[in-house]
Amino acid sequence: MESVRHHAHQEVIREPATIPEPIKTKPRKKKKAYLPGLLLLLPILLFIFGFFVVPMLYILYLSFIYTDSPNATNAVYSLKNYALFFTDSYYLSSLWITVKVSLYTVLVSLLLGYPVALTMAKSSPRIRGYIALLIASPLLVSIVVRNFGWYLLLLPNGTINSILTSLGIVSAPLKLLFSEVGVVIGLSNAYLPFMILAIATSLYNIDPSLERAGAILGASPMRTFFSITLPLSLPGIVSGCVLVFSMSMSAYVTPALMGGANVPMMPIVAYDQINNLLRWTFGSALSYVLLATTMLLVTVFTRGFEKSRFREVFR
Amino acid sequence: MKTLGRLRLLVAILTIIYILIPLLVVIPASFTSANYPSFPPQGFSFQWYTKLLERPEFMTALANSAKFALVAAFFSVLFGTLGALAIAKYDIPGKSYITSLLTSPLSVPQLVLGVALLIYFTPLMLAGTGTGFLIAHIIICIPYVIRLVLTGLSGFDYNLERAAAILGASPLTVFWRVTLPLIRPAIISGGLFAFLTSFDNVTVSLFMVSPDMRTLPIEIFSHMQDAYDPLVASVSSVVIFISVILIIILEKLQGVGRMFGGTH
Amino acid sequence: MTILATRNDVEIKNVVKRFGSNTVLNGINLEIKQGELLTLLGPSGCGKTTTLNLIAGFLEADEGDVYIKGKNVTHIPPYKRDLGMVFQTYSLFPHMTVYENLDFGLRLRKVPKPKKQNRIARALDLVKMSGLEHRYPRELSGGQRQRVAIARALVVEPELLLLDEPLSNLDAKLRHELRAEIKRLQKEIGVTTIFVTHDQEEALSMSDRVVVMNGGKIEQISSPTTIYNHPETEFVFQFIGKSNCFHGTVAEINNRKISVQLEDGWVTFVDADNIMGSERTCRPGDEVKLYIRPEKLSLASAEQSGHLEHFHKATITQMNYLGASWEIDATLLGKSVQILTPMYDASWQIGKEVMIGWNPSDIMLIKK
Repeated sequence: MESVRHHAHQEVIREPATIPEPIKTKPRKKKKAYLPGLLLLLPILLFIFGFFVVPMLYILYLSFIYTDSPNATNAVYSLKNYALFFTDSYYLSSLWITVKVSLYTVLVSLLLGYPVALTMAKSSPRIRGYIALLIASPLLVSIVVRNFGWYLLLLPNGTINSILTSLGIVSAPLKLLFSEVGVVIGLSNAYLPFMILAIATSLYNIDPSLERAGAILGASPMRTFFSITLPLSLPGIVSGCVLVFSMSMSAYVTPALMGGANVPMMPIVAYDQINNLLRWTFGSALSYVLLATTMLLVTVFTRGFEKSRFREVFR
Repeated sequence: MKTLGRLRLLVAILTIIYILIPLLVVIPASFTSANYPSFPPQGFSFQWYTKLLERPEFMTALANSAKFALVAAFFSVLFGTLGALAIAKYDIPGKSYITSLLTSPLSVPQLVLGVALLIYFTPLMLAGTGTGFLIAHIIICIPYVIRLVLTGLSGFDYNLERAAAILGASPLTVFWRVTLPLIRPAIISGGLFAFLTSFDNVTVSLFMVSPDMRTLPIEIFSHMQDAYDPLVASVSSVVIFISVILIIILEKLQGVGRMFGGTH
Repeated sequence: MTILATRNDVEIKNVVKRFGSNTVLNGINLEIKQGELLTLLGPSGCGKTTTLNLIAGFLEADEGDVYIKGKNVTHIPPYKRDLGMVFQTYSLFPHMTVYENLDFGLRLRKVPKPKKQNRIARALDLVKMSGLEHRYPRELSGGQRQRVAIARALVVEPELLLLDEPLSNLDAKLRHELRAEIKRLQKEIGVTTIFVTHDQEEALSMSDRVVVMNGGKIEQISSPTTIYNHPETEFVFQFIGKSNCFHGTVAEINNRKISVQLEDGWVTFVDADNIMGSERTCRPGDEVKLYIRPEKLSLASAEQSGHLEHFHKATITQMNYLGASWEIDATLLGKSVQILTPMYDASWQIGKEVMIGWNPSDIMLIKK
C-alpha cells in the first residue's frame, strides 16, 4: 500500500496538471422514436394501399389496354380507348353535358348559398350552429331518399306542377324531371351545404372592423359589400365552387334518377359501359378522362384566381 | 339599404327550406292512403308501413344495410383510430403525406372507386361478395374516422399520459384508462359517421352488390326506377328516422356543422 | 352668440345607451371644442368606446342627441357623417395596396385624379410613409400599418378624427413614438380629434383635455395637469396614477387650511382647495379620507426638508429599484404607504426608520 501511494504521489508531482481526454465511446444507434407509431399505422396503410391505391392504379393501367372483353387474351397496349372516346361525338357530348350541368350547379349553389353564408356570418355563434345543423343534416341521409323527395315534387303530377297548373300559371305540366333542369335541382340541392359552409368559413375570418372602416370612409352598405366583403370572401367562394364542381362532375345517383337517359352524364355512361356492356378497359379510360377533365378545369380555375388582381386575398 | 338586408335574409331562408324540402315531403307522403306517391298525401293511413313489413326484400335489405354498416364502422374505427393515434403522437417522416393518403378516398369520385374495386376484385373472387362489399365500405369510411379522431386529438394534453406513466401505468393501461376515455367522443362520432356513410351509400355499393345481397338504398334506387309506389316513401321515412336519431346524437357529441367545417 | 355656437365641433346631449338590461351610458353630456385633442379615458366597461361609436354612428343613442358641427346626426348612418377613424386593429383593407387604401375614401367623394394623387402623396408624407404606395398591408410592420391607417383617415379631410385605442397593439417603444407623432400631426392639421384609451400616460401626455369616465358617467373633464393634481372625485384620484390613503376626522377649518386628525392622534393640514367629491365643503367632525401621491411623499434628508411642512417617522418595509427612480414601501402611521423618489441614500435599508415629509397642498380630501 505504502509503495503504491508513494508511487501515485510521485506520478502526480511529475506530470503537469492536465484535463484527461474524454473516453471515446462508440456512438450508440439511436432507436427511432416513431417506431411504435409505424406499427400502429401498418394495418391501415396496408389496407388503403392494397384496396385503394393498387386498384386505382390498376384501372389506370387497364385504360391503356385495348380489348373487346374482360377475358380477352389479345390485350394490346394502346391509346385506342382514349382515341375512341375523343373521336366519338356521343362521348364528347356526354363530357360536355357533364361539364355544363356541373357549371349550372355551381352557379345555382353560389347564388343561393352566398346569402345563407352571409346570414350565418352576421349571426351569433348559437344561430350559426343551428343553421349549420339544419343544412348539414340532409347530407347524412341517403341521396336516394332526397331524390325521391324531389320526385314527389317535380313529377308531372307532382306537387309543383299541380300547384302551377291549378293556379293557371302553366297550361301543361312542366318537364322538370328527366331533364337537365331536374339534374341541376337535384345536384344543387345536395351540394349547397358544402358551398355555404365554405363561404361561411371565409366570411368568419374577415376582420369585422374592416366593414366599419369602409363605412366611416363613406361606403354605403352595398358599396362595403362589393368592395370589401365580397373580395375578401373570394377564397371561400373559390373553394366552394371547386368542391361543388368536382362532386357534380362525378355524381352518379342524382343524374341517373333525376335525368335518366335524357341527360347522359359521364358517370352514367361509364357505369353503363362497365356493368352492362362489360367494356372494362374502355370504362376505365372513361373514368380517368372524367378525373382528368375535372382536375384540369379546377386547376385552371384556381390558378386563374391566384394570378388575378385578387391574388392578394388568397395569401 | 335595409331592404337589401331583408332580401338577403329572405333568399337565405328560402334556400334553407330548399335544402330541407325533399326530406320534409317524404314523411307525410308515406302516410297516404292512395296507391300512388304524392305530396300532399291523400288521406291518412299506416298501410304502407304494414306493407313494408310484409316485403321480404326490404326487410332483408334493411338488415343487410345495418349489418354491413355496423361491421364497416367497427373496422373503420379500429383502423382509423390506430392510424390517427400514430399520426398525432409520433413524428413519423412524411406524416402529412401519409395523412393525405389516408384521407384521399374522400377526394376520389365514388364512381371511379366503384369501377376500380369491381375490376380489381373480380380476379380476386371478391366481386359481389360480402367481404368485397365490406372492404369497399371501409375504404370510404376510414377518411372520416381519421379526420374526426385527429381533430379530437389536436387538443390532447400528452402530459396526462406522462403523469399516468410516472404513477406506474404500463403503456397499455395508459391507453386504456387515460387516452381512450378522453378521445371517446371523437371515436364515437367517427363510428356514427362511418355507420351513416356506409348505411346511406349508393354509388360504390352499386358496383359491389350481387342479386342476393342488396342494401336498403339500392332497393330504394331500383324501386324508384321500376316500381314507383308509396312503399318507397315509407322505406325512405325509415331511413330518415334512423338518420335523424344518429344526427341528434352526433350533434350533441360533435356538432354536425363543425364536422363539415362550418362553424368556429 | 353664433361664434360660440360653432366653437363646439361635437355636442353630446343627455345621451343614454343601453345594451339589453345594461345601461352603458347614463345621461352623458359632452362638448368638444374645435381643434382640440380630447381623450376619453377610463377602465374597460366605462363607456368610452360606446361614446366614440355613438359619435362615429356605429351605435344609435336610445335617448338624447349627438351634434357634429351644429348638425343633429343622431340618426344619420356612419357613411354619411364624413369622419375619419383609426381602429385598434388598424383595419387596412388587406386586398388593397397602401395607395388603394387611401384612394378608397377619395373615390367615394369623387375627387378628380390629379387632386387625388396629390392628396395621397401629401398624406403619406405627413405620416412618413412616402414611397410605400404599392405595398400591401401584410408587407408592413405594425407601426407602419398604423401610420397608413392615420393617413387614410386624414386624406379625406374629415370633420373629426376618431381614434379607438390605436396604440394598444404596439410595443412600448412604438407607442411612445407614435404618441408624439399623432400629437404633432393633430396640431399641424388642426382637426378636432377624439382619442379613446385606457392608458393614463397616453391620455395625460397627448391631450388638451381629458374626460375620465366610469360606469357610464363622466367623472371629470379637465386639462391633464388639473386631472392629475386636482382630481374632483375619488375615482379620478385612484384611477390616475397611484395613491396612498389615510383615514381621519376633520378637527378644525380655518382660513386656507383644514386640520385633520389621523387615526393615531397625529394632525395634518390640508389645503382648503383640495376637497374632492360633489360637495366641495366639509365641517369639523366629518369622517374623511386623505389621498396623497407617492411622488409627493419625500424621504427627508437634510437637503430637501426645507419646503416640507409635515414630517413623521416611518419604517421602510420594501425597496424596489425602477431604474430612474426608487419605489419604497414603508409603514407610516400604522399604514403601508408607497413612496416614489428619484433620490437614493445609502442609509435607506429595509427595517430602517426614516423621516417622511409632505405638504398640505399635495393632499386631497374626500368625505366618507
